[in-house]
Amino acid sequence: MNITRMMEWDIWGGAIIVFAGPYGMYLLMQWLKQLKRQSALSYNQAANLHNNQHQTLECSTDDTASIHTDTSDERHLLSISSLLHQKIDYIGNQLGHSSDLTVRYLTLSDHSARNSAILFINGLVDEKMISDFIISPVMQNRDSISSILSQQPEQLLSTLHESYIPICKGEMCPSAEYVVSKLLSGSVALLVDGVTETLVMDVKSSNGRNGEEPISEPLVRGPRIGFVESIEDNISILRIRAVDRNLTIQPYELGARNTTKAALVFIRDLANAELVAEVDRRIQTIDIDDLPESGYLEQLIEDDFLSPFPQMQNTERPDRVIAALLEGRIAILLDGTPFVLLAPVTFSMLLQSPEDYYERWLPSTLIRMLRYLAAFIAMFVPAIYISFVSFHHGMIPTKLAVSMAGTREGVPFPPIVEALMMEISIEILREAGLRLPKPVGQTVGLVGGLVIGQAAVEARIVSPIMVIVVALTAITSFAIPQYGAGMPIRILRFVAMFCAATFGLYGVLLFFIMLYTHIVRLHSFGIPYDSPTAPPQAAGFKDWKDFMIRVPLFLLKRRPRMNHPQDSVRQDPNPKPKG
Amino acid sequence: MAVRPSLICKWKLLFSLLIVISLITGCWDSQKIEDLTFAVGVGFDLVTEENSDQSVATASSKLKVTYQNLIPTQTMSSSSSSASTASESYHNITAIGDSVHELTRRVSILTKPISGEHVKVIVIGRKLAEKIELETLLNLFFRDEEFRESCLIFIAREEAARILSSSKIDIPSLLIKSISDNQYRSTKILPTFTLQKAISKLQSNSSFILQTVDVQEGNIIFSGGGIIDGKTHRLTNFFSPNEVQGLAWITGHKEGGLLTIRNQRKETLFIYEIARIKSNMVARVQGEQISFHIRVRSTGRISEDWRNLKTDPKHTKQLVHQSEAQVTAEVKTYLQNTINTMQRYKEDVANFDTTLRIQHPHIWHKVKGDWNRVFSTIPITYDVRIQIEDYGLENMGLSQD
Amino acid sequence: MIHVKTRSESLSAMQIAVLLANNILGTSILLLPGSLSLAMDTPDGWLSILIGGCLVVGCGYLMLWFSRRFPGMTLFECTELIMGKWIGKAINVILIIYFILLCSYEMRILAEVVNLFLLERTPKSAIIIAMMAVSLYLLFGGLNAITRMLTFILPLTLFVLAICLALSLKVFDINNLRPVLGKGFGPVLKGVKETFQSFLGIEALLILPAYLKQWKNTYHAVWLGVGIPTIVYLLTTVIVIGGLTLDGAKITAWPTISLIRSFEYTGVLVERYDSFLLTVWILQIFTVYILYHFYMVEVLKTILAQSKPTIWIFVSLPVIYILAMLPNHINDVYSLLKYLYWLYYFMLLLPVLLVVVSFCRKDIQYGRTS
Repeated sequence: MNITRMMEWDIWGGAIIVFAGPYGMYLLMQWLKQLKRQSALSYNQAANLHNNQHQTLECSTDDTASIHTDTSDERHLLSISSLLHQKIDYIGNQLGHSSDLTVRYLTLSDHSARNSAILFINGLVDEKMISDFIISPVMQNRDSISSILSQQPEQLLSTLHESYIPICKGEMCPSAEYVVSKLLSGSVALLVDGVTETLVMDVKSSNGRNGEEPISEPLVRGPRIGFVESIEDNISILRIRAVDRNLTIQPYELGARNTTKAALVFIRDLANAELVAEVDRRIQTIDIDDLPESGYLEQLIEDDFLSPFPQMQNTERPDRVIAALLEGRIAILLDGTPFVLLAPVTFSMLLQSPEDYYERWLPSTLIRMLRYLAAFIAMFVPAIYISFVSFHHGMIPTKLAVSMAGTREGVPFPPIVEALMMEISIEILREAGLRLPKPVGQTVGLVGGLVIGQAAVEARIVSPIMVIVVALTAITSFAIPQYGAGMPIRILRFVAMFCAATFGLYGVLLFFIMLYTHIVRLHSFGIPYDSPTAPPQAAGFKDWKDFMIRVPLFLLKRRPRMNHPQDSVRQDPNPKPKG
Repeated sequence: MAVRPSLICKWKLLFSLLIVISLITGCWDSQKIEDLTFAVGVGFDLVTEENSDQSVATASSKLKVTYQNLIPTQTMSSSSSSASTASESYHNITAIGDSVHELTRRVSILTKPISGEHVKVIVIGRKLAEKIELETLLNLFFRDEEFRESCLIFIAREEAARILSSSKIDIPSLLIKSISDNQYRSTKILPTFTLQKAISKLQSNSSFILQTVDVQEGNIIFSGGGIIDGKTHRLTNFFSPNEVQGLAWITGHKEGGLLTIRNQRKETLFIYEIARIKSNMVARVQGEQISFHIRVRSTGRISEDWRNLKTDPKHTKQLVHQSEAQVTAEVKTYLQNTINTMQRYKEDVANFDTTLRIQHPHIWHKVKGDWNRVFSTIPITYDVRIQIEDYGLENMGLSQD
Repeated sequence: MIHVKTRSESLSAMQIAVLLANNILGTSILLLPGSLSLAMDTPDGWLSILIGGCLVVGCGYLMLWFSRRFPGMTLFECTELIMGKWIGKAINVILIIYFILLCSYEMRILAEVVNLFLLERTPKSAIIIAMMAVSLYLLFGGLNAITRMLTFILPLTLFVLAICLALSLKVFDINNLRPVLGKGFGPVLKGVKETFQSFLGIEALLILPAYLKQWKNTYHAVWLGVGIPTIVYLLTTVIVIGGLTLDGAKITAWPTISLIRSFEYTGVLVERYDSFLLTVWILQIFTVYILYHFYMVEVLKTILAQSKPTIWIFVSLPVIYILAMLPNHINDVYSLLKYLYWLYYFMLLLPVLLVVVSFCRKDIQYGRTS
């Protein structure tokens, strides 16, 4: 060891840089984090003030408050007979006191108020039918009904059904259990105090405007339905497909001025309770005057605002939401937007499509691997091209190297400038094509991609191989099934290119380490973002069955472990023969 | 950690400054690909009076290096010019200097920077190989990591520069490489010898044989081998193509090649096409006496028959036996010839040393220091068994009257 | 009086195995075939590696036994507990020096290789600083982030390495490995020492078990954690010597890279595979560096009795950097390596000393009181 080297300036210069650089970065990060914390603090203070006003305001005008809160309040106030009360309570419990369960009380006799109730789930039933054909006949014939009630209470319901209520489908159910499942499929239940049976009538609504196939996530094979703007419709779309009684809808009213309905949807016996509590806590902290889109919600409750990766998934597809719910994840619906948020999310989920499960396993495995390849190409290929062309000429096969040198002959810019020019222009083209009406957008793409590309090559501003690389990255970034998932790749591609221009392949490697470090440090609602790549337990590697590949469905007997679902069994591992 | 905003501003400034500095000073190694020329072959020669370049050569000049560079193909240009560029897609650059290192410096004055990472072929002129140790020559390539260990080494019969400028149509270096890739089709071509192998052999002080290339009538031909002595690390002798052929039979591991069987009047009788040669070397040690026995097994077929066959089909078997005997005799002459040459030159290039090292390590350690001398006196026996599996069209030949 | 610290982060047995394998696999992938050939002068290196591997597994078992005696405590916490505050701190300072030297060593070797094969004119300082800055980001992520990263890198390394070695079979010749035991057993034993040094990193087993949640399968973890590097070293050595010959492996500075560079597959998309090998090797150096830096921070925490010695982490960076830059030449680095190995043996023997002292001192209670 040469101690005299201690005197040389580059050692000391380097030492200062290696101290000051990272330390400066650290302080910067600390400051940014503090920035968020401070803003949250000041926000909360303001919020508290605001909330007080808000509450006083709410007392005066509560006509917009939901029926659910109304009825539950009144139920406590008024004493109804224990049987009816128990029944309603039971049904309410079964449905997790979801907001869309409506209880409408009726008074059948004058002796006791409210000795009957109609139960239905909002959005699933045609309310006009209920008021016209159930409530109004009952009210009009109250005298005769009240006499039946006092004489033969057991006969009441059948008499009602047979003589008074003009609804075709109706039946008597002795068990409340059955009533719940009928309710979930769009029936209305008539409960009468003192009568054990329940009259269940089918008043299923034709569900408003049907959601068309979502433009942002079209599938070749899969349901052609998407969410719509109304939260009731969206919940009913979910309800229609997911008749599980454990599907719980937890309501929120968000936005101080323009109050918007939101709902946290999860399956009670699947979703991890901690996850639900955490999401609930974060939603409770939101205080903003308006929430026009679920993107607002996403940004207000995400984990790391500095990360380029989305920490919640947004989708317009009900099937995707239901699949996510069945994996033990949660969904957040917001009124006024067809985009539903899913959490938690990992990078691998962003590269999955519902179609992976609808197709047979071999094609979907292939497609999935292609997607990972596409993500890799979209992020790294320009960087690798730069590092090969300007640093590691020896690693290219000889003939390719010579032809690359030939094509770059006469191009005045270094590869990084060339790549930046092309990448930036293609991103602009993409953005331009996106905002324009469809036919015009296509023209822009054609003009930009073909004409400018060709002209640029002929003018020797860029080399033809660069055009190929840029086109390749553009195309591969379209192969990513979700728009939001492609964004980090588009951003990080530029970072990778700068790293490559400084350090060549070593720089690309450093960038990769940095990127992956960021991913392992990032969490989405408690789930590490890189899951299921590196599970803590060896058993966690079983999640790999549905990661880069998609094994046949009969092997996917358990839900992904990374979400820590309460009930991990998806298919009975030891199925009993039916019969 | 509470940090005051003003402090933060200073830090931010410093930090962005750092980033800018690092970006400006960065890209130390960045070099545009079109600014380079790619050398695919390198030739070394000794400059003698008659062929030296008058302008550069001085009395002290010793070495001449020839870089064969590829000219990038101009795909951009229109079709009219592409026809003209096709004829010549390489150019050679020559420099003369005292040492290998000086050569590279001289070259760098002459042309665009040369990238040596794509060098496929190194050709060493005969005179140079006889004059200087191969190690000093190759050391530059081996130490300087620009050149890869996978490039092949050849000895030029005459002058390396001539070989590298021989062909007008093909790029000579690439041509040499693709011919040597053909080695499974001929026993006259030696197995490829990479820089890595040469360094290992030189390090272990064992003799080895390099393919020689020559130019005849403007064509590159592979003609025999040049022996590099293990002690002196210099080129000492040459093998004729026939001796190379014998060497292939000794070392085995061949899957192709031809053997022409002639009669006493030098007329071609038939051609034996080798499907496989397997040879097995056994070292025998009795007391101090070392001896080798080579077992050669080969299968093949008769691919061409020039004999005027008039035997009836009954005698097919006999004919095959007869042919096999003829091939065996021919192979034996090759073998004997090669062994004699090797022992005469006192150069073991057929890996007899490896056999001894593996089979009798203790004896090997005793004779290691003076192996080539010991080798020259060692009795070497062999037996050859040829099996003709396929007669090609012979059956038809037999049936005709 | 002595309470077992509850750690915020925990490891499973599998993660210990992964960290251990990552910690061991480092420079030796490139250097071991050469150094073994030089030390032994016979092609029997693979035997030494097998024996050395078994020996290291034995060592690993002993270390686990030690960790089990002091459950939930790292080696440094034990030293302070057993040797007393001041002697313990002194020993821990030696350990800090050891870890810093290792970090510098890794960085210097990284810079050398990158300079040789990837970026010739880029100053070593830039290469080192960039890598240190990047790994610091991971260090601040904590042990769990490090583990996740390393769990991802290890299979990647093994996969790429396996492909590179499989491709090298093109130049492989079994005769280069023969004769087996041509010079008897003497050189093999000489090689075992060399091998043992290449298992530098086994000392992880004195630190990491403190993070274990449950001891189930931990002994299997040693087998896995040592077995993976043993197999990697074994295959690398066999294929390198088989491909380059013994003399070739002796003379080349970086035999494994030379091997990959000595063949080409034309007609495939890529002709040359050394960049792949270099890539995973750099990743592996990164893992070793990050682990040693992490250990260093852990010792610092123990010495300072501080849970977040942030500023000291930043101070350690220039120290590592200066130490990495001081040697003029790679040969200086190798000659200094000798002292590093002394520290390595010191660290391996430290638990023995601690156990002996703890037997003598009856006043110490350790671990979770029953």
